[in-house]
Amino acid sequence: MQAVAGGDLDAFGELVLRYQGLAWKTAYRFLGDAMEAEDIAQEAFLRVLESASRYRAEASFGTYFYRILTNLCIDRTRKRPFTGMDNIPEMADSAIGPTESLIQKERGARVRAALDTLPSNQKAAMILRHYEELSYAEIAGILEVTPKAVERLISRARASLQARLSHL
Amino acid sequence: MNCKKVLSRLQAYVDGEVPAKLRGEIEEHLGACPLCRSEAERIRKVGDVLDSLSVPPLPEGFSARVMAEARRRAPLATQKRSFLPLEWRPLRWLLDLSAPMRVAACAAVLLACLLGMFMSKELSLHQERQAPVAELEPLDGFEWFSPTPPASLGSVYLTYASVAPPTGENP
Repeated sequence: MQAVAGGDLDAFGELVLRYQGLAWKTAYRFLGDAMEAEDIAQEAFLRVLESASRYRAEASFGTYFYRILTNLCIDRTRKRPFTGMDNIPEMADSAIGPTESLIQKERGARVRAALDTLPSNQKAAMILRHYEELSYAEIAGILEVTPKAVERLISRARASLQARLSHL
Repeated sequence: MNCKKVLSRLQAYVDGEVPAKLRGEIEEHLGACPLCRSEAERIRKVGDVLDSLSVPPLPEGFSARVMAEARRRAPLATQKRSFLPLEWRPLRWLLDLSAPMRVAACAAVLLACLLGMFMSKELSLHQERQAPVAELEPLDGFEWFSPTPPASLGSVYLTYASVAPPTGENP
């Protein structure tokens, strides 16, 4: 990061290569749209570059990067209209004989819709915990809350998801 | 350990976020309590369902697009930095403040300057009112010293010049 702060674009390029997978997956899981996810992941890297001179190594770079990315995802979610569960495809009747991949796709769409009904902070906590496998302490650092608050966010998120996805 | 206590920490237990001692106690309870065990299973099942959410592969050329945009923005960022005296090390603390705090800090400095100017003006007027301007006879060539405020350098010089013996005369 020191090299990036000094304007070293090669060092910045290395950061991009190292964290691009993480940025893409997290943004996609949060937003569920490829174009938006790419846009947000790119913006997260550019924010890192622009604020490199102000970066303090108080937390790990990973935590710092997740924080930027998560905040961008939350902002983007707030700006778009809520669609709720309206756009979910009807579950295919397995007796009719749709392919397994189609069922899987529909299952994914239901999970996507259920995640989208969660409040942004619960959704962020759940994604960081379940998919990124971060600890409560790491998530607390990213969301700037206490680990206990993270536990509560995840607990509420799970209860909500459980209610919506119990049929799967 | 009772069910209430176990259920309150069950999420953390499933996530591997409880200390070893508590983990052992919870496991012991789960072994004996089918109700809490089924609740733990339900929590784990949510995780299994979430795994069905797939993510497409990273779009091709992503890093190249990020780098292109970075190169486009980098000169602007450098220019911005070079014009900002805030990059000067002693003022780095100002950059770490939030925007409202920065405005407040600048306003405080401005207020302090204005107050200083106002107080110095008041003090000067007060001194002038208390001690009238010395009635010293201006010497030829020193008219621009007159009138001189008391205890000023001009006043001292005029006083000295008016009593000093002519040049070349022996004491």
